[in-house]
Amino acid sequence: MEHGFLDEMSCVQSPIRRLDPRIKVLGFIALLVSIVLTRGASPAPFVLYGAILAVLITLSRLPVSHVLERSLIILPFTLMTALFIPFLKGADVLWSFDAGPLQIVLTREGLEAFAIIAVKSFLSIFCAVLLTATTGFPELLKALERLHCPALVIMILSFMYRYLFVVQDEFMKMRLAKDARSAGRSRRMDWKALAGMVGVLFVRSYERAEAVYLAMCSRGYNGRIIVSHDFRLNRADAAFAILMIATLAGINLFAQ
Amino acid sequence: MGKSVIEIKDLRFAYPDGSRALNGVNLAVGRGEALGLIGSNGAGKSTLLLHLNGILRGEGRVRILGIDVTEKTAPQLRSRVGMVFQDPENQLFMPTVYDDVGFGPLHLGRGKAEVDDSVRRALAAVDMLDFIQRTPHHLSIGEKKRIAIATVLSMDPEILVLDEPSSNLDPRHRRDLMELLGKLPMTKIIASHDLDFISRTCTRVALLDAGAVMAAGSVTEILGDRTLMERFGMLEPEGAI
Repeated sequence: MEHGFLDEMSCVQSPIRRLDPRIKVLGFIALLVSIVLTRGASPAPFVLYGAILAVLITLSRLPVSHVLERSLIILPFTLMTALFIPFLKGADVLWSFDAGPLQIVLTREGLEAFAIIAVKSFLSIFCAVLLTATTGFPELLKALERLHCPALVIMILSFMYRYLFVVQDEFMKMRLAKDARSAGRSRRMDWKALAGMVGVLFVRSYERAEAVYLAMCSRGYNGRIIVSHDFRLNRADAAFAILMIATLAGINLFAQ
Repeated sequence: MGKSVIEIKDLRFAYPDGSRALNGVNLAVGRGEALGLIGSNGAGKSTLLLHLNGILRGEGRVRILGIDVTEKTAPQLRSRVGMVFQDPENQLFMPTVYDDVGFGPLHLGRGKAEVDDSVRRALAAVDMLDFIQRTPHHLSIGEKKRIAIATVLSMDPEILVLDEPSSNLDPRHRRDLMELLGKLPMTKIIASHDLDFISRTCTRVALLDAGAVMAAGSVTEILGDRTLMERFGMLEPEGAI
């Protein structure tokens, strides 16, 4: 069964795709931190961040629809955390509503804070989508390794990447087998079957983990994770790093 | 038969739940031999294989390449006994083919250039060099099996152990695999109940049942003995062998 969710766009060749993954990871983290830490209600810095991202998306040759679609994932989180912010206390009351003992007040300050959080979270998710869509997952792991991310974390991520598809495959096969045997059953029975399937999936994954561990031991693994590196920086990487630092520094100075 | 590279004397093993898997296995395999290990489901084939590189250790004696398998010697033996598991999904656990084939050499403490060289040689040996940067989950089962073999070839093993190598393979991939195994010169232990596969890839056969070797001999001696094969539930329809 085919599923390319994680690496869907990693074959699109572009100047951004070809950058050294380490530089890319650092560059995007710098951009992200800069976006998150920008203070004040002035929209100018955010417009500039948006412009940087627009340039990067163009350079990356990713379909805009793909970036937007992937970015929507942040929406529920933003709404959940930011929904109440417009109702925070503030001097400039725009609208109020008396609901018995509860008074709901919408303030301008609250609304502004909400807008900033929404913009920040969308800009941040653009960074994340851009980074992951232009970097193959294995390369991303290599870059994190090289940047001294703990080996254990890398190993967990790499197993997740490797076995996500295997587990998904097992689940799809189980669902097929279930559907093949359950014609016209009620939805309630479906949920019951689903619960059983999740249980079976857990046990199978646990057993697989043991089998994988045996395979690792058979090839010399003794609890110590060893990694190898093979990246080389070139002129394009240096240019990207310098441009990114200069732009971010400029925006931050300007914002103050 | 050459000098024995595998000597097993009265090997017994029970799993923690108490089920006895091996009940006194005796077996000797000479250098360069290809031994087929046959037996019905639950006969103890896989359990026996796991003793060959010290992952499991039962009572009795297992001597590999002249070294007794103990807790101390097992790690060094693991590089010399390449174990290919039945399910390549378990064998291939790294994000790329390169990382997977390089895992063994890297963990044996080899340097970057040497690992690189081992990976290329192993992939070339199984004719999969073009797949070096691919991710395992996008490969077909036949490709996965070949790469699973490469993951142990990269450690330059003296003994190659394969558990059910032909399972789930279509006829063409199965034939390719037989050709590949024929080209590999090291001592081989192949556990399978695909008797045709065994007869084409092995020089000797041992029949395992209820955790003990019931018979051992040349391919024709064992696979040709209809009464023996029938008795241990290994019989194929007439003319299949």
